[in-house]
Amino acid sequence: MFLNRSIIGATFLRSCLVKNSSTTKICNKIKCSIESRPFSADIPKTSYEHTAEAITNNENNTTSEVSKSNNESSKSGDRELEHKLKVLMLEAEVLRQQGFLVPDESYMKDDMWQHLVELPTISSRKKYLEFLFKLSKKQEHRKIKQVEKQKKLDEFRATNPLEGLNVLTIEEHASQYGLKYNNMFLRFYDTIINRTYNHKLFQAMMFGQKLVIDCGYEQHMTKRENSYCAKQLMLLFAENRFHSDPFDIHYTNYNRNSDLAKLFHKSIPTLYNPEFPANIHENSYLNVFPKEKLIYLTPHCREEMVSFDHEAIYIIGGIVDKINNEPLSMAKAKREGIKMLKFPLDKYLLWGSGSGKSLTLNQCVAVLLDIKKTGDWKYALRHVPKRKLAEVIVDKHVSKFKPDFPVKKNNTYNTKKTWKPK
Amino acid sequence: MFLSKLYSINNFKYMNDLYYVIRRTAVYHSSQKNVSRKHISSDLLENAFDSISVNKPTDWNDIHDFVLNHEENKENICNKINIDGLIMKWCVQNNKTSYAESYITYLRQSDKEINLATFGLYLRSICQSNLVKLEPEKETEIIQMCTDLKNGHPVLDSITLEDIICALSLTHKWEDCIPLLEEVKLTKTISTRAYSFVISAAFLNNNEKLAWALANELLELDREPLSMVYLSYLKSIKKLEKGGNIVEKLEILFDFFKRNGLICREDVAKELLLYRNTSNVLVKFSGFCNVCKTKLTKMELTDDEFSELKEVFLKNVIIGQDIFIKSDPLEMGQFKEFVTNLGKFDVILDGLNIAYSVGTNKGTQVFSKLVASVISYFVQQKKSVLMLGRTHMNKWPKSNWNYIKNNCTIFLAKDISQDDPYLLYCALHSGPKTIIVTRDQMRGHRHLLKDRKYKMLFTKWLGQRQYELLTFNKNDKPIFRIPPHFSTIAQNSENIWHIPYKSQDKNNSINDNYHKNWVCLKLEK
Repeated sequence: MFLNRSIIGATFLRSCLVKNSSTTKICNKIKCSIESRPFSADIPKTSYEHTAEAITNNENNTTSEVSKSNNESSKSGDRELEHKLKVLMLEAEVLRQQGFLVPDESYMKDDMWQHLVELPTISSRKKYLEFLFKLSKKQEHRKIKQVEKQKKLDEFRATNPLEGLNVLTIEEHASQYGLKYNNMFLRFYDTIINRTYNHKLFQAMMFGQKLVIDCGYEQHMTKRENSYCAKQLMLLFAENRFHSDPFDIHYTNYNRNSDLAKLFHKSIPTLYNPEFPANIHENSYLNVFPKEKLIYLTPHCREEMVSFDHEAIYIIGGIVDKINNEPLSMAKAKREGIKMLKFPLDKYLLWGSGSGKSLTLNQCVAVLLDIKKTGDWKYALRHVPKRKLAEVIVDKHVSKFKPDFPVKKNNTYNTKKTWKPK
Repeated sequence: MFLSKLYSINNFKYMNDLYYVIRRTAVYHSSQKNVSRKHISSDLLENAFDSISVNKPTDWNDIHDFVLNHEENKENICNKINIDGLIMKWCVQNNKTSYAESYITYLRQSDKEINLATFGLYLRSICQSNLVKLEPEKETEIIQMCTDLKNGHPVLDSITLEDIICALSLTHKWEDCIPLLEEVKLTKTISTRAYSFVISAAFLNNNEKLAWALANELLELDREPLSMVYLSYLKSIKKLEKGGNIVEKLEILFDFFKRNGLICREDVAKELLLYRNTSNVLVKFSGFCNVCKTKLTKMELTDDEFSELKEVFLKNVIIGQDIFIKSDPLEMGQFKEFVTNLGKFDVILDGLNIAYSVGTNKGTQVFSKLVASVISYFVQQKKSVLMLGRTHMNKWPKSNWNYIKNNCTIFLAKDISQDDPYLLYCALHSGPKTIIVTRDQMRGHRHLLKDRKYKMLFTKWLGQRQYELLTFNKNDKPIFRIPPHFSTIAQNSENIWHIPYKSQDKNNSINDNYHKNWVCLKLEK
């Protein structure tokens, strides 16, 4: 509870310190980048502008490097590939002219072309282009909205010069409120928050329960699935860190050269630093932990988890199966002779039709964290998205039903009290 | 007294809350926006052509204005880049060749740069309208356009290339298509349409060798040629001198149908009916043709084909890439041992498929009774029965389960293994006469066979051996859908051929789900 309060305080204070709206944008940028870099010991603590510059420069550098290397691999290299790329560029152009949903030429980046070259069929390319189109439209709309908002504010300030000064963004208001830019609260830096969270993880590494994420399914997933998986791994790490009693997470079968690992590393740049609170193993969990303690959590087995075992080491398969829904994790556990269990999803929840019963990796970890803390499945399974569940409503006809004995109107158990003048 | 009353009332309140009704809702919102985006252009054009009639070239300007400035086009889905392509596409989809022509002349007159997509779609519309006969002026136009396109662009994309291929194949320069096909292969598999156009061009120009080679290439991709291929083959036959030659040529085509298990469409059948001694036949369930008074035959698999299918099935379907996905080696070993000691059975039952035929929520008492009654039906006919299921069936009520156990042989797979690959393998092992009782069409397992040849063998075999449980009558006797006494494949007895075709009107009821529409031909040499 105390920690939670301190987080709010910290974010509030951070926003208080920002002076004008142009820096808020940069600040947002830092915020994003810092949140994705949980252990930001390498960020200097001087001023926000400074770090902002450093980070944006850094980002620019890395992206330009990436694009350069992509350029080299996709545009140079053998002639065949170049020819194919040209054909595909023309194909995209023709699709655009035929009225398919294809983003603008200017939106297409090198890595997108690279992905297009790798896709085997025209229908898969169409789908990918449509996906990019939707993405581009989303960004476009967001930009338009931002500009409109700013315009409105400017207009208002121009027309009402006196009142206009009083119309402030919440950051501006917060910084001016009180003792002329002074504040009685102690300032919390992001690094401090980071340290408190990481401290919890270090505690867990010493005394906490272990949890294994099996990252050995990289070659079974498509590129898109791999990127989703990497994102879920990042969210999972954050979710675990925020919890009051986190797991000690071990990433096993982790191949640093795989797509998955590269994407995961991109979202957590300090991941491979020696002081970073994550355990990365290149070999299997069988080499790290005693086999009899391991339990593989897979949705394809029949046996349901009844209660949480605080001694066991649970394994979650790091796999996003959008296309291929073969029971890979079950097959693996069967081959290695590990005990299998699944969440009691049918026992505690009423499922709606439509979307399946699959959970993301971060949801799985959230459920495990809560069941470990409370032992209450109903509470733990609140992490299952609401849209997947059947909507439960009280039938009107049933609520109209009246008991066949008279009920006094002013009953003690009638909670609604109406006041009437005497 | 009061307490009890209160308690009961509280109880009532609680009960009231318990009366939940579950409403199931599907999630639409994410897909809806996308659908509207896809359809907005065709809807707008539909409206535009309804309100504006195109007579003069300037009318096209009105259509442009209507579509581009329409309030539904807020997101700019229709824009200056794709409006030409969209209009052409609309013309192709609605088969309005005159509009397509007038639009291309309008574009040429207005000095606008015509983009690739518009050219491609215009070619497509020409192909559509001039399939049967190409006028000489159109031919020169096509050749001119295609050479311009090829010369104007160092590389061409697969979509435009396919349109060029289709258009060129109608002209006398059809042989230029073949190098283009190779170019398409670089970025995508060639569409059935492009293949069919080239094949029919090859037939019409008497290059049969190339045509059949391409047709087999298409079949290897697990696609079937369009009707136009057969039609142009028949057309090429007609050009030949009358006499024995025609019969031979027809036999080649029928043999192609027979070997590849193809069923042609009604338009091809109509063309076939123009020949002498042919008639349109509705075959009865017994397979008796009432015109030539012969019976259609059952095409049995040969022993070699059968054992080959068995082997491929074990390798591709049960074991696949990873045995652990469907089973495990221990179970596989048990199964192999079980199979080697296995005699021949008359009937093989898919236990759980029968049990769940009334729905999965009925309880084990019902399930076991269903299976037991199906077994008793076959046992009364003195047939040997094998049943496959999963181990959890052991927990079924003892009275019925003991009856099942005593009257048939049983193999139970683990609860987390798949049982139907085992079922199919047992049936294949037990020999060509064995009946399978299941409602599963086994499409997924068929797909895993990969090779077209084995897929065909599999459907041929299963189509003749599968009993599907429909219902039970009043005396608890099962009613099955029985396979017909003939196979739906082009077939001949000496010089009388029977060719099945797909009829447009489908009024087959569920109970007689077999192929009825046939062409009966008597070929005289």
